[in-house]
Amino acid sequence: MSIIPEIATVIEKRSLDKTHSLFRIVFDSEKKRDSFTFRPGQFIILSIFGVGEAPISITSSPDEKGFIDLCVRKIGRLTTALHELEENSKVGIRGPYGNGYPVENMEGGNLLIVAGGLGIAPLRSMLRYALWHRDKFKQVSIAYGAKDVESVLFRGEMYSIAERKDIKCLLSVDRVEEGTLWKGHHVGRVTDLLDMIDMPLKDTSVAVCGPPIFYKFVLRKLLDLGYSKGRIYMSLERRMECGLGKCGHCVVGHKYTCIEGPIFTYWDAINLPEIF
Amino acid sequence: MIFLTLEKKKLSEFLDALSREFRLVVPEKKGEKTYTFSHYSSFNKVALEFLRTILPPKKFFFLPKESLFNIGNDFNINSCSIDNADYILFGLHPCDLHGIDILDRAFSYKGRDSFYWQRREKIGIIGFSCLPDKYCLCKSMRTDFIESVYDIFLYTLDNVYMVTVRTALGDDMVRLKPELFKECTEMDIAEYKERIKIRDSKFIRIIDITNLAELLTLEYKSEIWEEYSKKCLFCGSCVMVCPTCQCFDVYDSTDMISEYSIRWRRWDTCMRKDYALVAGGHNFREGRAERFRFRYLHKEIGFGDEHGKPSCTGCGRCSETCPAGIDMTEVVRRIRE
Amino acid sequence: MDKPKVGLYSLTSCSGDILETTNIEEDLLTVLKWIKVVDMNVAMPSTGETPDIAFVEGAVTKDEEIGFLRDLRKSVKYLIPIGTCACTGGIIARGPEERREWLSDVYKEAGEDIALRFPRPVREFIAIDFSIPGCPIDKNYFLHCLGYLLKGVLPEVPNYPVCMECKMKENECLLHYRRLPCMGPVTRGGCGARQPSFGRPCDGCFGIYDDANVEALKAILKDIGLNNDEIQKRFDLFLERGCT
Repeated sequence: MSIIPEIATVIEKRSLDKTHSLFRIVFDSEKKRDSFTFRPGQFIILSIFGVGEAPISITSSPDEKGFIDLCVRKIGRLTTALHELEENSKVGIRGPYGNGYPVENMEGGNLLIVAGGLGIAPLRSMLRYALWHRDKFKQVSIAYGAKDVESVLFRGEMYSIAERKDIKCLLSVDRVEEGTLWKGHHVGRVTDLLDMIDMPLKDTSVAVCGPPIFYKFVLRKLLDLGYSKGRIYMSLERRMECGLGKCGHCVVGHKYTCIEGPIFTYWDAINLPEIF
Repeated sequence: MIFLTLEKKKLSEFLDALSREFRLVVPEKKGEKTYTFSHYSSFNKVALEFLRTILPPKKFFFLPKESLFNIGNDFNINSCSIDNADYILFGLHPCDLHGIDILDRAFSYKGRDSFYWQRREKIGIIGFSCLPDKYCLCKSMRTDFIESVYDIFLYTLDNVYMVTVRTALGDDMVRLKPELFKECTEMDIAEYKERIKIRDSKFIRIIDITNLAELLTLEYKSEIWEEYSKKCLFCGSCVMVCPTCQCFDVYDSTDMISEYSIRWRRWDTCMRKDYALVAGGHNFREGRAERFRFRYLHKEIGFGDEHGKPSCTGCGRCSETCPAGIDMTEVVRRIRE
Repeated sequence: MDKPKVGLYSLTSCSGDILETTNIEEDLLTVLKWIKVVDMNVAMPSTGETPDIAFVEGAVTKDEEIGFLRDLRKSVKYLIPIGTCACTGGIIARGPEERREWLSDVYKEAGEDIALRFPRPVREFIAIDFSIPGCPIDKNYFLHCLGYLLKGVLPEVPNYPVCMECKMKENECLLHYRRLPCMGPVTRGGCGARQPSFGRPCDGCFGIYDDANVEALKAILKDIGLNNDEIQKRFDLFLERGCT
């Protein structure tokens, strides 16, 4: 795998809220467009030449061919520059990197997705994968929480998924601003949604992603409910510079998050030195 | 593997011959008390008495700063040309050979780093024996001898060097001046055995690394880390001079003269505050004591699982270089107590 | 697309930083293909245009300089102090705050009429976007930063000490081996270890960096034979005043 990126074009840029946008990216090389495959939970490293690079998880599903979607928060030097790009601007893409979710192990069982805020970005890829291959999973549920209605990313998409009969999709916000329409299910914590979801403990994989405080409460709740530490999958955020297990920045204990992760079972994560 | 001898006074002829065929790198004096590996100019500048250079030989294949590619307004990526000259590095002690061995593993772990290997593969290595000083920890780290990495190894005896030729490239080197080399005699072998014993007895400081990985893990919360982090300047010197430190930072710049955007990589250090900082401001290793401990754990436990051995070669550079006088031996001894 | 307009302005200073930009010499013409200089008092008359990027050298010592900075801030995209005086107050901010006596010593009666404020850095009066320190600035680092600004992004602050760049150049450590009072371990990098590379200890003109362990360096300076007063002087030269 090379540290040299491929040239790609931002063909569409859609604002999701004040600080988040969805970027649809297409490789310029037709060959690369056809050959690029990835697993849900993997990430790419995006370049804006002259500015730098940043690791960003892929939010589209591997089944959607010809493009990748990135859901990005405007937060650092590179993501700010990315938000300032106009459509049809050139960027560099390399990857995919990381292990991704172990979909082979998850298939055949139940799937519970628990997302908080921007944590939906890698999980949306997993969700879309599960919907595409719905027959490969038994029950599928998603609990997604955000701080307010405006911050529920992919709101329209989530509302329509919630109407499907073959998946349980529960949405929650911390608060509803006056005069805002909330078609979700709950006002409160995302952990409350977990009580409303009745998933068997056996054969259930739980994919969790969100900010640090979210992890703290959700993991405790999942353990209380009795889910196995070996089947709870977390996505660890670290500073990934090379993506190739060389530069050292993403190391936790002695593991390169960029190649051994970013997806770790809760059990593996708590057994990493310096994790907590 | 073949064993030969080379008369000490003939070394200059050998190096001259090598320098005509290859780009020869030798130890030279740098400042008043320091040495550096630099390009051979004449034999009288070769500092055979040297023990350690400021920077380890990694600087020839893992460059302090290198451009990975450049790109113009046409969005064509031009990979930067890699200097392919065949280097021969002369005078590497066993610790530095181990350092190269560990870096070789690191830069091949789950995928080869092409920038490293394009240079590394072109490099020939002549090992050179040494006698330890107070910073040398190779015997403790079990890196005081090596049977790989080098092409030729020169072991100093009274009047001759015992020459071990390990590879075909080493053989090519010897055959540039075959008349300089002689068969090994029984007397040479006897002297070689004697020399090994003498060298062994000269190690002043020995640290015990038995169960060190476990002890360091058990002492994870020790106050020692906090104590040393008050003394440490976090200047990064120990990392820059380490033969096995591999961290780098990737960044871009725009060269206004050539009108290219250039992607660079440059040595970095885990001691640096922003090392594990992510966009949005969360820092996964902000505290000084945490950073100090992280480096020690990496050197002494290393990527044990991946590389099969600790990352410290006992070369003593970090201890000798530290402006704050922090000595690895002392830190390890304190942890053991 | 129009070339971005760049203005270089002087407050109270020796003009050394803007002068240093002229040392770009043979490459200056190439640089001018990218930008239009609208103001640079050491080299040309002002074109009267408002710049997109303003570089300001020197410390603030007069009330009219504050007014000038406020107006400038309103009209430019990037306002960037260059040189140590503009970034931290610099050499002229050393010594006692009360200087009335000095003025009359140097300028006799005329000194009475000079309204002088104690020299302060630019950022104390207006918001700045970035700073390019150095006494004088390093022309290569200046170009490096300008390259980013033309891309519409701010450069990354070099948050590492001079020692890292010094080691990469394989210099013999002046502090450690020659016991010279080098400020490299606490000083922000970016200059490529300018002074140590010539065998002179770093004076710290890029200012203190975020993670500097000042106490540890003071202990070492004491160890190599400096007394408390001498140590304080080393820190006062560029580092501590206006940095804390």
